Amino acid sequence: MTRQADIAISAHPAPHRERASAVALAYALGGAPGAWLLHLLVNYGMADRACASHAALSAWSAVVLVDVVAITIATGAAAVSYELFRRTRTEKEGGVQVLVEAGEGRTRFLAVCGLLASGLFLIAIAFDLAGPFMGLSCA
Amino acid sequence: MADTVIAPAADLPIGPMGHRALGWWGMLCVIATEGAVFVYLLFSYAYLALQPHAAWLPEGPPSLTLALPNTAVLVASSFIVAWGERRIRAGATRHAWLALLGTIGLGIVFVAVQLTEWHDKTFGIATSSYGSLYFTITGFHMAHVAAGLLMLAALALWTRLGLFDSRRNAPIAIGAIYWHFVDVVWLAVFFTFYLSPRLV
Amino acid sequence: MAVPADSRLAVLTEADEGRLATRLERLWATAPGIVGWLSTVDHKEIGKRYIVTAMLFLIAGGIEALVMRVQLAGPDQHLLTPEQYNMLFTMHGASLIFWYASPVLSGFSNYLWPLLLGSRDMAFPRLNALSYWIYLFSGLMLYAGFAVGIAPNTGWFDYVPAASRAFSPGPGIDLYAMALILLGISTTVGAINFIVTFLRTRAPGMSLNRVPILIWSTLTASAGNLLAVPAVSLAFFLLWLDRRFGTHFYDVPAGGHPLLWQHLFWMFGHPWVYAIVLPAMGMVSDALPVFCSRPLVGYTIVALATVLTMVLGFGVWVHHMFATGLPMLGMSFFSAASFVIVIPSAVAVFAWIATIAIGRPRLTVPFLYFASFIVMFVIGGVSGFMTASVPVDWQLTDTYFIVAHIHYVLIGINVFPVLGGLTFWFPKMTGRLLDERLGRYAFWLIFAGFNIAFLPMHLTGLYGMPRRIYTYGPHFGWETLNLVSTVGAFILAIGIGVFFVNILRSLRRGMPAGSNPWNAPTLEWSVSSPPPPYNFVVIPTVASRHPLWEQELDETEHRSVIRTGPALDEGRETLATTPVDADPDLVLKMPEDSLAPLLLALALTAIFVGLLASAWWSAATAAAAGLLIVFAWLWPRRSLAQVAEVSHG
Repeated sequence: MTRQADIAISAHPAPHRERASAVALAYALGGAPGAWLLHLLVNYGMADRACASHAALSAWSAVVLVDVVAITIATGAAAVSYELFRRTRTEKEGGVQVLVEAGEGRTRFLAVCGLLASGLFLIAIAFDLAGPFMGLSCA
Repeated sequence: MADTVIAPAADLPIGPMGHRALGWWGMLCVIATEGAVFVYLLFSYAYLALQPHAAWLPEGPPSLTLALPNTAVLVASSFIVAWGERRIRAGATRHAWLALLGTIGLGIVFVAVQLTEWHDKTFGIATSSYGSLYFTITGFHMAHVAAGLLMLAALALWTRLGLFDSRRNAPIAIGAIYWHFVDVVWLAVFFTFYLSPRLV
Repeated sequence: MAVPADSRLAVLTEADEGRLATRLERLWATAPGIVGWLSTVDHKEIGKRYIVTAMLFLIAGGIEALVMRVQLAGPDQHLLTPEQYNMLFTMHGASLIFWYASPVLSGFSNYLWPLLLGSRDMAFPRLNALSYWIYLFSGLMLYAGFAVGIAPNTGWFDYVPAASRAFSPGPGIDLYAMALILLGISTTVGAINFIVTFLRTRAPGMSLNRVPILIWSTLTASAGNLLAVPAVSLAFFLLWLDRRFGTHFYDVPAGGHPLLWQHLFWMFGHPWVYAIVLPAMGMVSDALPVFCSRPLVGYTIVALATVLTMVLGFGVWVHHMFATGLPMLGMSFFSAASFVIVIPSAVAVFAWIATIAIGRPRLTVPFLYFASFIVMFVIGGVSGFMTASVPVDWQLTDTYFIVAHIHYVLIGINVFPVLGGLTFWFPKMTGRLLDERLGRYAFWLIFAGFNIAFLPMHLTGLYGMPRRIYTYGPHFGWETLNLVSTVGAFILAIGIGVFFVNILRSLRRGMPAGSNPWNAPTLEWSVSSPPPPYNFVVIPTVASRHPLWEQELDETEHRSVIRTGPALDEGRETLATTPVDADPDLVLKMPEDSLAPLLLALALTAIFVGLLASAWWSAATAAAAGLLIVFAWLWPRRSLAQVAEVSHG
């Protein structure tokens, strides 16, 4: 049925893999992008509806509300990413610079990716606030 | 400097094994892409429903008389196929076979009831955009049920022929997850067509 | 030390390696003759076929472009009728965007993935063959129609109502719809194969942080395609229903809406743009550093930027619809997202520039393509960034400015890396180097021709020339710019011609390449050129991102092992590993060559031709045949360890 596998890796690519649960990593990596995509679709749908029924003011406050919720989720993802990175930063030799250049240490690699992704999508969500505050309306 | 050591380790299984089989991962991808098809279909429904219309629903919200029990039939079939999957992992080939046949039976009932619903509609696919959406989306779903039935029929045959046992049964797991997917899609279709008009 | 037949671990001496190689050769080689040729599932063979086929569509689309450029060379030309011109620009766009740009990248990835990943084939070798055959047949279907004068004429994005039956009664649109849905099946099948290959067949030790950028980028493109292609297939299917069965998805009087087409099309269209540029960018990220003699700067950020670009790409589709009268507030969200998407792109650009700046560049032909790609990426990126602004877009949309933008994106970011990549990997594929001198001539002709043709188009567009007009009057002041563009287009074409001449010549007379002519770091360069059918004598174990540069770089204390490892030689076998850390998980039994993929592709094509011709019974017969083939294909087989064992050993 089975045969000898004869493969084991002495230098595992992720010595700290036990320090980051799959759920935490998934939220760290997917939280901010997910929040952004959802907020975009909801915002677009609501703005469309509100504009069709000439309720620009309600669109304005709804957009701001959705943005705040999305920013909260994304900030949470950033915080979780940072915590995971703090726990795994010594996974392989070399600091952040080496990590960014060589990518060694799979767990801390994903944690840093989560941190960077959360940052980018926080910018993307915050950017949407510009529309309502610049006084854009339905015209 | 050390080489990355390669030393005898645990036994590796050979060939496809349950959820470690590549086919299982492939089916998850199929479900993702087919799921996307239905997301776009239901988006089309929502998009057209939200446009200003004189009369969107030709007959008012669709009747639940047949649809609700039919939904229960499909959900029940998912539980049966899940039971069959558990039984084959315990080596009970005959139970698995019966479960597959039972699932097929309920699937056929579902299709028959759906066709009755189609038959009783007073509008057609070319009557209005609502009719186009209704028949296209339920038709897409029915095509997926039909594909599922063909899959289950093949699995039932292979199970009957004794090709599967407690270790070699990845195709049943793969067929079962697809059937669950068809089921979940129906819930989304059901919500969109039957329930959402009652909510607004 | 001898290699026992059932040994999982082969510690190889030279003699053992020879014996094992002979054994693997027998197991993996494709049978000679026509049947072998038609039934092969070797990813390298399929990859080359993809590239060659895509290049033929590049040539076809290029010739169509040249004819149009002749027409536009001066005012009031009448070489083409308006109808012919409409067909030509539609076929040009469709051929290059759908049948060239993505398949050519699939070709590279098919060829390279298992070699880069340290595996013996793709996860689903037969699906791989299937996706190629469907691709080929869908293209033949489109061009068979074109040959008899049936072709779409409403532009590659085929807007309704122009594409509705009322305004396009002929069969051209239906042909386009059917061919594109068929192609969509091929793309989807290929995407599934790449995703599962990525998740399950990386060499032991190749955790997520050690994957080459080309792998990341093709994975990203595949995931994007998996979710985006259904939108366009559906859009075309609904259009076909509207045209053939009188449904009302797109016509307003019966409750439909033409903007539904635009939404569905661009929900697909924008992710697709990334699907056809990201893998090309990935090729540059992996190959450019070879010519700078140092690793890519900022690997982690570039890998991440690749993935995030696609995620953002799903949220910018409305920027193709700024001029359709949508509410301003709604559009502002998509404008914002379109600005943000510049960030990950800029990250990649700076990483490439830094790699060149810090490294020691060798000015070879591939380097020239990759370096000029960066310049054109910036030009195409900036013109795209401009149109992310709603008011600027209103001024520029549907002018030649957009034509210039899309060509800087698609030629600059797809064709240039492809030509550079072809020069780079040609020695691996054929065992021979391309001629460097001829390569330089080709490069400079292509570079000069491209920029002479398309840089002035920005200006043509700013002067107000709309795209897709079949001719123009002499009093608009566009004739000089257009003449320059036409001259540039022909220089570009000559350059491409020289490139192909170089390929044909070097196939026979090129210098022998050896296994690693460029001193490149990744696994494909550890095997002979061309690689043997089984790729690796033993499955390698990986300890870093660049297994062949570990000695020079000395980054970590561990070393990859390429000559020692599991032999997996009892039938076609390779190793399955876990998705995140690539720990060994299963021994995979791989299928032999088979005619089933070809037959299934033929059946599928027959279905779509039947639907196109309203020959319902033929379509149904083909569908039944297809089902039988699938049934036989999937029948559990003992040789693949899919069947219950009778007795236990």
